[in-house]
Amino acid sequence: MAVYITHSKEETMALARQLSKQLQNGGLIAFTGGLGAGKTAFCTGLAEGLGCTDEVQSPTFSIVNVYRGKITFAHFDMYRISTEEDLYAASFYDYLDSGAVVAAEWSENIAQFLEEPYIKINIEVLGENDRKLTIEGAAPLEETPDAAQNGLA
Amino acid sequence: MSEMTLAVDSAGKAAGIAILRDEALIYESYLDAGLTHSETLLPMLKSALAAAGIAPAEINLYAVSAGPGSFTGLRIGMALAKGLALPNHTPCIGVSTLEALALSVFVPQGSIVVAAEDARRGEVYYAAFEQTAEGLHRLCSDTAGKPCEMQEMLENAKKSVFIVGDGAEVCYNNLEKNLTLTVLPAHLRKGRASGVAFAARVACARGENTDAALLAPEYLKLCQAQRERQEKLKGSETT
Repeated sequence: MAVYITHSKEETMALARQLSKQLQNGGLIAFTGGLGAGKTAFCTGLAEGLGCTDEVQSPTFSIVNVYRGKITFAHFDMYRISTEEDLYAASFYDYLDSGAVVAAEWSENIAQFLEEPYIKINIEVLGENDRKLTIEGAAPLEETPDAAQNGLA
Repeated sequence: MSEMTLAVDSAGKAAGIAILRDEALIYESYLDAGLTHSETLLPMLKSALAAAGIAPAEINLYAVSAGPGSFTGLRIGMALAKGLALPNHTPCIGVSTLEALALSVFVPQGSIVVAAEDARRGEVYYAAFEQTAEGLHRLCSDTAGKPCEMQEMLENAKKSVFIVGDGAEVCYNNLEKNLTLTVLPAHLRKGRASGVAFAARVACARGENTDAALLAPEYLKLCQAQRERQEKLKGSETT
Protein backbone atom coordinates (compact mmCIF):
# COMPACT_ATOMS: atom_id res chain seq x y z
CA MET A 1 0.00 0.00 0.00
CA ALA A 2 1.32 3.45 -0.90
CA VAL A 3 0.04 6.93 -0.17
CA TYR A 4 0.51 9.86 -2.54
CA ILE A 5 -0.44 13.48 -2.01
CA THR A 6 -1.24 15.55 -5.08
CA HIS A 7 -1.78 19.30 -5.14
CA SER A 8 -3.61 19.75 -8.42
CA LYS A 9 -5.72 17.93 -11.00
CA GLU A 10 -2.61 17.86 -13.23
CA GLU A 11 -0.59 16.07 -10.57
CA THR A 12 -3.36 13.52 -10.09
CA MET A 13 -3.40 12.92 -13.85
CA ALA A 14 0.40 12.58 -13.92
CA LEU A 15 0.23 9.91 -11.22
CA ALA A 16 -2.41 8.08 -13.26
CA ARG A 17 -0.25 8.24 -16.40
CA GLN A 18 2.49 6.53 -14.41
CA LEU A 19 0.16 3.82 -13.19
CA SER A 20 -0.96 3.15 -16.78
CA LYS A 21 2.53 1.74 -17.47
CA GLN A 22 1.61 -1.17 -15.18
CA LEU A 23 -1.62 -1.85 -17.09
CA GLN A 24 -0.31 -2.58 -20.56
CA ASN A 25 -1.84 -6.09 -20.42
CA GLY A 26 -5.18 -4.95 -19.02
CA GLY A 27 -6.33 -5.06 -15.43
CA LEU A 28 -8.90 -3.84 -12.97
CA ILE A 29 -8.86 -0.70 -10.86
CA ALA A 30 -11.45 -0.24 -8.12
CA PHE A 31 -11.99 3.30 -6.86
CA THR A 32 -13.48 4.36 -3.59
CA GLY A 33 -14.02 7.94 -2.55
CA GLY A 34 -16.84 10.42 -2.74
CA LEU A 35 -18.03 13.03 -5.21
CA GLY A 36 -15.51 15.50 -6.59
CA ALA A 37 -12.57 13.53 -5.25
CA GLY A 38 -10.92 13.33 -8.65
CA LYS A 39 -11.73 9.84 -9.88
CA THR A 40 -12.58 11.11 -13.35
CA ALA A 41 -9.38 13.21 -13.42
CA PHE A 42 -7.42 10.10 -12.53
CA CYS A 43 -9.18 8.20 -15.33
CA THR A 44 -8.35 10.98 -17.78
CA GLY A 45 -4.67 10.51 -16.91
CA LEU A 46 -5.02 6.74 -17.26
CA ALA A 47 -6.63 7.09 -20.69
CA GLU A 48 -3.80 9.35 -21.84
CA GLY A 49 -1.22 6.90 -20.59
CA LEU A 50 -2.98 3.99 -22.32
CA GLY A 51 -3.00 5.84 -25.64
CA CYS A 52 -6.79 6.25 -25.73
CA THR A 53 -8.00 9.03 -27.99
CA ASP A 54 -11.67 9.26 -26.99
CA GLU A 55 -12.64 11.97 -24.53
CA VAL A 56 -12.97 10.84 -20.92
CA GLN A 57 -16.25 11.74 -19.26
CA SER A 58 -17.91 10.65 -16.06
CA PRO A 59 -19.97 7.50 -16.75
CA THR A 60 -22.58 8.41 -14.14
CA PHE A 61 -25.48 8.18 -16.57
CA SER A 62 -24.09 5.73 -19.11
CA ILE A 63 -22.74 3.32 -16.41
CA VAL A 64 -19.84 2.51 -18.74
CA ASN A 65 -17.81 4.62 -21.16
CA VAL A 66 -15.38 2.86 -23.45
CA TYR A 67 -12.34 4.70 -24.74
CA ARG A 68 -10.64 3.32 -27.83
CA GLY A 69 -6.91 3.37 -28.30
CA LYS A 70 -3.82 1.25 -28.11
CA ILE A 71 -5.45 -0.49 -25.16
CA THR A 72 -9.22 -0.39 -24.69
CA PHE A 73 -10.25 1.31 -21.47
CA ALA A 74 -13.69 0.61 -19.99
CA HIS A 75 -14.66 3.21 -17.38
CA PHE A 76 -17.54 2.15 -15.10
CA ASP A 77 -19.60 3.99 -12.53
CA MET A 78 -21.09 1.44 -10.11
CA TYR A 79 -23.23 3.95 -8.22
CA ARG A 80 -26.43 2.30 -9.47
CA ILE A 81 -25.04 -1.24 -9.70
CA SER A 82 -25.55 -3.54 -6.75
CA THR A 83 -26.21 -7.07 -7.97
CA GLU A 84 -24.11 -9.54 -9.88
CA GLU A 85 -26.81 -9.62 -12.60
CA ASP A 86 -26.46 -5.85 -13.07
CA LEU A 87 -22.72 -6.21 -13.31
CA TYR A 88 -23.04 -8.99 -15.86
CA ALA A 89 -25.62 -7.07 -17.91
CA ALA A 90 -23.38 -3.99 -17.95
CA SER A 91 -20.79 -6.18 -19.76
CA PHE A 92 -18.35 -5.78 -16.87
CA TYR A 93 -17.07 -9.36 -17.16
CA ASP A 94 -16.90 -9.15 -20.95
CA TYR A 95 -14.53 -6.18 -20.74
CA LEU A 96 -12.40 -7.91 -18.11
CA ASP A 97 -12.17 -11.04 -20.26
CA SER A 98 -11.29 -9.05 -23.36
CA GLY A 99 -8.03 -7.85 -21.79
CA ALA A 100 -9.16 -4.24 -21.48
CA VAL A 101 -8.22 -1.94 -18.64
CA VAL A 102 -11.34 -1.68 -16.50
CA ALA A 103 -11.83 1.06 -13.91
CA ALA A 104 -14.78 1.05 -11.53
CA GLU A 105 -15.87 4.16 -9.65
CA TRP A 106 -18.01 3.52 -6.55
CA SER A 107 -16.54 0.03 -6.36
CA GLU A 108 -17.82 -0.25 -2.77
CA ASN A 109 -21.12 -1.34 -4.32
CA ILE A 110 -19.65 -4.39 -6.04
CA ALA A 111 -16.66 -5.24 -3.83
CA GLN A 112 -18.08 -8.68 -3.00
CA PHE A 113 -18.12 -9.64 -6.71
CA LEU A 114 -14.53 -8.67 -7.50
CA GLU A 115 -11.85 -11.27 -7.91
CA GLU A 116 -8.28 -10.62 -6.72
CA PRO A 117 -5.83 -9.42 -7.83
CA TYR A 118 -6.88 -5.87 -8.61
CA ILE A 119 -5.67 -2.37 -7.83
CA LYS A 120 -7.54 -0.44 -5.14
CA ILE A 121 -7.44 3.33 -5.16
CA ASN A 122 -9.01 5.52 -2.50
CA ILE A 123 -9.06 9.25 -3.12
CA GLU A 124 -9.59 11.54 -0.18
CA VAL A 125 -10.17 15.28 -0.39
CA LEU A 126 -7.71 17.16 1.83
CA GLY A 127 -8.37 20.67 0.58
CA GLU A 128 -9.52 22.57 -2.47
CA ASN A 129 -6.77 21.12 -4.67
CA ASP A 130 -5.06 18.63 -2.37
CA ARG A 131 -5.86 14.96 -2.62
CA LYS A 132 -4.62 11.91 -0.76
CA LEU A 133 -4.45 8.82 -2.98
CA THR A 134 -4.05 5.45 -1.30
CA ILE A 135 -3.08 2.82 -3.84
CA GLU A 136 -3.03 -0.90 -3.06
CA GLY A 137 -1.98 -3.71 -5.35
CA ALA A 138 0.31 -1.69 -7.65
CA ALA A 139 4.07 -1.32 -7.87
CA PRO A 140 5.33 1.94 -6.31
CA LEU A 141 4.97 5.09 -8.41
CA GLU A 142 7.36 8.01 -8.59
CA GLU A 143 5.99 10.91 -6.62
CA THR A 144 4.41 13.14 -9.30
CA PRO A 145 7.40 13.20 -11.67
CA ASP A 146 6.22 15.88 -14.04
CA ALA A 147 4.48 17.99 -11.42
CA ALA A 148 7.77 19.60 -10.47
CA GLN A 149 8.32 20.51 -14.10
CA ASN A 150 4.86 21.99 -14.30
CA GLY A 151 5.71 24.05 -11.24
CA LEU A 152 8.82 25.44 -12.92
CA ALA A 153 7.12 26.23 -16.20
CA MET B 1 -33.95 -33.08 -50.07
CA SER B 2 -31.24 -32.53 -47.52
CA GLU B 3 -31.70 -30.34 -44.48
CA MET B 4 -29.19 -27.50 -44.13
CA THR B 5 -28.37 -26.27 -40.62
CA LEU B 6 -26.29 -23.18 -40.00
CA ALA B 7 -24.95 -22.68 -36.48
CA VAL B 8 -23.56 -19.56 -34.86
CA ASP B 9 -21.46 -19.70 -31.71
CA SER B 10 -20.52 -16.49 -29.93
CA ALA B 11 -21.28 -17.40 -26.31
CA GLY B 12 -17.68 -17.30 -25.18
CA LYS B 13 -14.40 -15.75 -26.25
CA ALA B 14 -14.30 -17.74 -29.48
CA ALA B 15 -16.60 -17.21 -32.43
CA GLY B 16 -17.62 -19.97 -34.81
CA ILE B 17 -19.85 -20.83 -37.74
CA ALA B 18 -20.76 -24.38 -38.77
CA ILE B 19 -22.90 -25.78 -41.56
CA LEU B 20 -24.44 -29.26 -41.55
CA ARG B 21 -25.98 -31.10 -44.47
CA ASP B 22 -28.37 -33.39 -42.60
CA GLU B 23 -26.09 -34.88 -39.93
CA ALA B 24 -22.84 -34.28 -41.81
CA LEU B 25 -20.57 -31.36 -41.01
CA ILE B 26 -19.61 -29.64 -44.26
CA TYR B 27 -18.06 -26.42 -42.93
CA GLU B 28 -16.75 -25.12 -39.63
CA SER B 29 -14.77 -22.11 -38.49
CA TYR B 30 -13.29 -21.19 -35.12
CA LEU B 31 -11.77 -17.83 -34.24
CA ASP B 32 -10.26 -16.92 -30.89
CA ALA B 33 -7.95 -14.02 -31.67
CA GLY B 34 -9.24 -11.59 -29.05
CA LEU B 35 -11.43 -9.73 -31.54
CA THR B 36 -14.97 -8.55 -31.01
CA HIS B 37 -17.75 -10.85 -32.19
CA SER B 38 -19.70 -7.87 -33.52
CA GLU B 39 -16.86 -7.27 -35.97
CA THR B 40 -15.89 -10.84 -36.85
CA LEU B 41 -19.09 -12.87 -36.94
CA LEU B 42 -20.68 -11.42 -40.09
CA PRO B 43 -17.52 -11.72 -42.22
CA MET B 44 -17.14 -15.29 -40.88
CA LEU B 45 -20.72 -16.04 -41.91
CA LYS B 46 -20.16 -14.59 -45.37
CA SER B 47 -17.00 -16.69 -45.83
CA ALA B 48 -18.82 -19.79 -44.63
CA LEU B 49 -21.67 -19.45 -47.14
CA ALA B 50 -19.27 -18.57 -49.96
CA ALA B 51 -16.89 -21.43 -49.20
CA ALA B 52 -19.70 -23.97 -48.95
CA GLY B 53 -21.46 -22.53 -52.02
CA ILE B 54 -24.74 -22.04 -50.19
CA ALA B 55 -27.23 -19.17 -50.37
CA PRO B 56 -28.95 -18.06 -47.15
CA ALA B 57 -32.31 -19.07 -48.67
CA GLU B 58 -31.16 -22.69 -48.74
CA ILE B 59 -30.71 -22.85 -44.96
CA ASN B 60 -33.53 -24.78 -43.26
CA LEU B 61 -32.52 -24.20 -39.65
CA TYR B 62 -30.50 -21.57 -37.81
CA ALA B 63 -28.93 -22.61 -34.54
CA VAL B 64 -27.36 -20.41 -31.92
CA SER B 65 -25.84 -20.94 -28.49
CA ALA B 66 -28.33 -19.41 -26.06
CA GLY B 67 -26.26 -19.45 -22.89
CA PRO B 68 -24.90 -19.52 -20.35
CA GLY B 69 -22.17 -17.28 -21.67
CA SER B 70 -20.93 -13.76 -22.14
CA PHE B 71 -23.71 -11.17 -22.00
CA THR B 72 -22.54 -9.33 -25.10
CA GLY B 73 -21.65 -12.49 -26.97
CA LEU B 74 -25.05 -14.09 -26.45
CA ARG B 75 -26.86 -10.97 -27.66
CA ILE B 76 -24.72 -10.72 -30.76
CA GLY B 77 -25.38 -14.37 -31.63
CA MET B 78 -29.12 -14.07 -30.98
CA ALA B 79 -29.42 -10.90 -33.04
CA LEU B 80 -27.58 -12.50 -35.94
CA ALA B 81 -29.65 -15.69 -35.87
CA LYS B 82 -32.92 -13.77 -35.64
CA GLY B 83 -31.92 -11.45 -38.45
CA LEU B 84 -30.96 -14.36 -40.68
CA ALA B 85 -34.21 -16.19 -39.94
CA LEU B 86 -36.40 -13.17 -40.59
CA PRO B 87 -36.61 -12.90 -44.42
CA ASN B 88 -37.85 -16.46 -45.02
CA HIS B 89 -39.27 -17.19 -41.56
CA THR B 90 -36.63 -19.89 -41.29
CA PRO B 91 -36.87 -22.03 -38.17
CA CYS B 92 -34.41 -20.92 -35.53
CA ILE B 93 -33.37 -22.61 -32.32
CA GLY B 94 -31.32 -21.68 -29.27
CA VAL B 95 -29.38 -24.42 -27.54
CA SER B 96 -27.63 -24.78 -24.21
CA THR B 97 -24.02 -23.69 -24.52
CA LEU B 98 -23.09 -26.57 -22.21
CA GLU B 99 -24.91 -29.19 -24.26
CA ALA B 100 -23.24 -27.81 -27.39
CA LEU B 101 -19.90 -28.02 -25.60
CA ALA B 102 -20.51 -31.65 -24.65
CA LEU B 103 -21.39 -32.40 -28.29
CA SER B 104 -18.21 -30.67 -29.49
CA VAL B 105 -15.96 -33.34 -28.03
CA PHE B 106 -15.64 -37.10 -28.13
CA VAL B 107 -15.91 -39.27 -25.04
CA PRO B 108 -16.25 -43.06 -25.05
CA GLN B 109 -19.63 -44.69 -24.65
CA GLY B 110 -20.48 -45.46 -21.02
CA SER B 111 -18.55 -42.50 -19.68
CA ILE B 112 -19.68 -39.12 -18.43
CA VAL B 113 -18.84 -35.77 -19.93
CA VAL B 114 -18.98 -32.72 -17.65
CA ALA B 115 -19.27 -29.48 -19.61
CA ALA B 116 -18.02 -26.59 -17.48
CA GLU B 117 -17.54 -22.93 -18.27
CA ASP B 118 -15.77 -20.62 -15.86
CA ALA B 119 -18.20 -18.42 -13.89
CA ARG B 120 -15.49 -16.70 -11.75
CA ARG B 121 -14.61 -16.86 -8.09
CA GLY B 122 -14.34 -20.64 -8.06
CA GLU B 123 -17.75 -21.20 -9.62
CA VAL B 124 -18.65 -22.75 -12.95
CA TYR B 125 -21.67 -23.21 -15.15
CA TYR B 126 -21.91 -26.95 -15.44
CA ALA B 127 -23.96 -29.78 -16.84
CA ALA B 128 -23.22 -33.50 -16.93
CA PHE B 129 -24.17 -36.02 -19.60
CA GLU B 130 -23.72 -39.73 -20.04
CA GLN B 131 -22.56 -40.95 -23.42
CA THR B 132 -24.96 -43.71 -24.47
CA ALA B 133 -25.54 -45.65 -27.69
CA GLU B 134 -28.44 -43.28 -28.43
CA GLY B 135 -26.37 -40.14 -27.84
CA LEU B 136 -25.90 -37.90 -24.84
CA HIS B 137 -28.19 -38.46 -21.88
CA ARG B 138 -28.44 -35.41 -19.63
CA LEU B 139 -27.77 -36.08 -15.93
CA CYS B 140 -28.47 -32.59 -14.55
CA SER B 141 -29.80 -29.28 -15.78
CA ASP B 142 -27.48 -26.33 -16.55
CA THR B 143 -26.39 -25.03 -13.16
CA ALA B 144 -24.19 -22.27 -11.78
CA GLY B 145 -22.28 -23.24 -8.69
CA LYS B 146 -19.23 -24.82 -7.09
CA PRO B 147 -17.79 -27.91 -8.78
CA CYS B 148 -18.04 -29.88 -5.50
CA GLU B 149 -21.84 -29.87 -5.92
CA MET B 150 -21.33 -32.51 -8.62
CA GLN B 151 -19.28 -34.81 -6.40
CA GLU B 152 -22.10 -37.02 -5.17
CA MET B 153 -23.79 -37.32 -8.55
CA LEU B 154 -20.52 -38.31 -10.19
CA GLU B 155 -19.62 -40.76 -7.43
CA ASN B 156 -23.01 -42.46 -7.69
CA ALA B 157 -22.67 -42.85 -11.44
CA LYS B 158 -19.48 -44.93 -10.97
CA LYS B 159 -18.19 -44.09 -14.44
CA SER B 160 -15.17 -42.41 -15.99
CA VAL B 161 -15.62 -38.65 -16.10
CA PHE B 162 -14.22 -36.40 -18.82
CA ILE B 163 -14.26 -32.67 -18.14
CA VAL B 164 -14.39 -30.12 -20.96
CA GLY B 165 -14.76 -26.36 -21.32
CA ASP B 166 -12.78 -23.46 -19.90
CA GLY B 167 -13.98 -24.38 -16.40
CA ALA B 168 -12.41 -27.85 -16.67
CA GLU B 169 -9.38 -27.09 -14.51
CA VAL B 170 -11.46 -25.44 -11.77
CA CYS B 171 -13.59 -28.60 -11.70
CA TYR B 172 -10.64 -30.95 -11.71
CA ASN B 173 -8.97 -29.09 -8.84
CA ASN B 174 -12.15 -29.03 -6.75
CA LEU B 175 -13.45 -32.55 -7.17
CA GLU B 176 -12.21 -35.32 -4.94
CA LYS B 177 -9.87 -37.73 -6.57
CA ASN B 178 -11.81 -40.90 -5.74
CA LEU B 179 -13.41 -40.22 -9.14
CA THR B 180 -11.82 -41.26 -12.43
CA LEU B 181 -11.32 -37.77 -13.79
CA THR B 182 -9.77 -36.78 -17.10
CA VAL B 183 -9.38 -33.23 -18.31
CA LEU B 184 -9.21 -33.25 -22.10
CA PRO B 185 -6.23 -31.38 -23.63
CA ALA B 186 -6.81 -27.63 -24.06
CA HIS B 187 -7.39 -27.67 -27.82
CA LEU B 188 -9.78 -30.61 -27.58
CA ARG B 189 -11.99 -29.27 -24.81
CA LYS B 190 -13.39 -26.16 -26.48
CA GLY B 191 -16.95 -25.60 -27.57
CA ARG B 192 -17.36 -25.44 -31.33
CA ALA B 193 -20.07 -24.25 -33.64
CA SER B 194 -20.54 -27.84 -34.86
CA GLY B 195 -21.58 -28.71 -31.30
CA VAL B 196 -24.22 -25.97 -31.49
CA ALA B 197 -25.42 -27.40 -34.81
CA PHE B 198 -25.62 -30.97 -33.47
CA ALA B 199 -27.39 -29.80 -30.30
CA ALA B 200 -29.91 -28.00 -32.50
CA ARG B 201 -30.59 -31.16 -34.51
CA VAL B 202 -31.19 -33.05 -31.27
CA ALA B 203 -33.44 -30.28 -29.93
CA CYS B 204 -35.48 -30.28 -33.15
CA ALA B 205 -35.87 -34.04 -32.90
CA ARG B 206 -37.16 -33.49 -29.33
CA GLY B 207 -39.74 -31.14 -30.85
CA GLU B 208 -38.47 -27.91 -29.28
CA ASN B 209 -39.84 -24.64 -30.52
CA THR B 210 -38.15 -23.14 -33.55
CA ASP B 211 -39.92 -19.79 -33.74
CA ALA B 212 -37.30 -17.05 -34.04
CA ALA B 213 -39.57 -14.61 -32.20
CA LEU B 214 -39.42 -16.77 -29.07
CA LEU B 215 -35.66 -17.10 -29.09
CA ALA B 216 -34.15 -15.55 -25.96
CA PRO B 217 -30.79 -15.80 -24.22
CA GLU B 218 -30.38 -17.82 -21.03
CA TYR B 219 -28.11 -15.34 -19.34
CA LEU B 220 -27.07 -16.24 -15.88
CA LYS B 221 -28.38 -18.77 -13.48
CA LEU B 222 -27.27 -17.71 -10.08
CA CYS B 223 -27.24 -20.49 -7.58
CA GLN B 224 -29.57 -20.44 -4.61
CA ALA B 225 -26.86 -19.45 -2.14
CA GLN B 226 -25.95 -16.38 -4.17
CA ARG B 227 -29.57 -15.30 -4.47
CA GLU B 228 -30.08 -15.66 -0.76
CA ARG B 229 -26.93 -13.69 -0.06
CA GLN B 230 -28.09 -10.90 -2.33
CA GLU B 231 -31.55 -10.87 -0.78
CA LYS B 232 -29.95 -10.64 2.65
CA LEU B 233 -27.74 -7.76 1.55
CA LYS B 234 -30.71 -5.93 0.08
CA GLY B 235 -32.63 -6.48 3.29
CA SER B 236 -29.83 -5.12 5.45
CA GLU B 237 -29.57 -2.04 3.24
CA THR B 238 -33.20 -1.08 3.57
CA THR B 239 -33.49 -1.63 7.31
